[in-house]
Amino acid sequence: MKRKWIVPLLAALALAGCGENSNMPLAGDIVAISAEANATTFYATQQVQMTATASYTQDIADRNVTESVTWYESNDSIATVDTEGVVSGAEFGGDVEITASYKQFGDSVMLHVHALTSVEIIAADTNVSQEQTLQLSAEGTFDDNTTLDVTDSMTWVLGNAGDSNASLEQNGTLYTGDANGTLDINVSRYDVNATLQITVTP
Amino acid sequence: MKRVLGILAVCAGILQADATVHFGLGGIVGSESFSVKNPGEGEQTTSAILQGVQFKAGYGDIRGYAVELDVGYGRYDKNIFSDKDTDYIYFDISLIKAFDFDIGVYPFFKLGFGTGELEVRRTVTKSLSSGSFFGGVGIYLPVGYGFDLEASAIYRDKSWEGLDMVGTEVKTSSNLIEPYVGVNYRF
Repeated sequence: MKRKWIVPLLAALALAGCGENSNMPLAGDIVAISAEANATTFYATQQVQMTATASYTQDIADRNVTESVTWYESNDSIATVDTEGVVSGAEFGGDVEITASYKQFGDSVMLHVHALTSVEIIAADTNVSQEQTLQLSAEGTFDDNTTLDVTDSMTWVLGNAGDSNASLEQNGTLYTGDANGTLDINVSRYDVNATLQITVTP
Repeated sequence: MKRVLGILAVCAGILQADATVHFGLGGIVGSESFSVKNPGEGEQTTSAILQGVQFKAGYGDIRGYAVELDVGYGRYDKNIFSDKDTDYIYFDISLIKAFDFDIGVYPFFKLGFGTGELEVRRTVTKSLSSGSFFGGVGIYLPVGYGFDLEASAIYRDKSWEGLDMVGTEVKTSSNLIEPYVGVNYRF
């Protein structure tokens, strides 16, 4: 007798709740990820900061997710993007698409990069005494004929120093050393380069 | 895994000589209180009715110690995690201590832990796992031919897997008092 109510009870429990619920969930969810750049056109020696923002349901405030998404570029000979969304120009100019991706979400921004076409080393004087410090700079010309100071974007190489203790830092600061002679200064970035000779006198 | 085997070994050691295998089928229903913390927001609470059926297999003495493995299937009457929370499947391991006071029913208490998986329809998550600890009391009522009716109520504390929100998570915990009614057959 007592067992008669068990089966209907279990059946009721099994069947109950089989319908779909229609209420809005309490937990928020991701709606979209959007990408933005702080500039859409830039010169190859410059950098652009990308920002990724996630938007959510339930009126949850948007969040900066720049360091949580995966960044990639469409053409790494034009520009590269690092894990923190910093885009650096590369060898060639042109359009490059930078994409922020997270699972099935993603967004892209098209950037235009102006290529560096030539560079010139600028020195206040090319005849300098021994044991002096000389600040050199590099001026680059880009494919839209714009010229910019590109000193910090170039690779600086000191040649022909011989036994002298002359030195050259990567910000273009030259120490002329303790010997007379000629120092060869070279700057380069990819295939763009320039050379300047500095004469060291007593 | 070593911890589980150790607990089972201890349980097996304390089982009495007249232990039997038993199987059971029953249903649960209970109001589960959820606490949900979305990123950058305060905690929000709600409750949902969990209804389900549970199959159990155990080994032990109706008047002494027993261990049980339960598998259950349930559904909530509300969406908590997504706009379509559906099947909830869970597994429990319990240690039971029953008493014989010569009153025709055998009261018992039980302790255990479990794990569960809830099917959800979120953008980047399709299922959500939970872990729980529980303890409760109940009675066995023998009805003859190897059958007994079981009624119990446990308090269960659950923690839920964090929900991916891109570099951050929705954190959820819940608890409920879970009444169970079922029938067991002992060999």
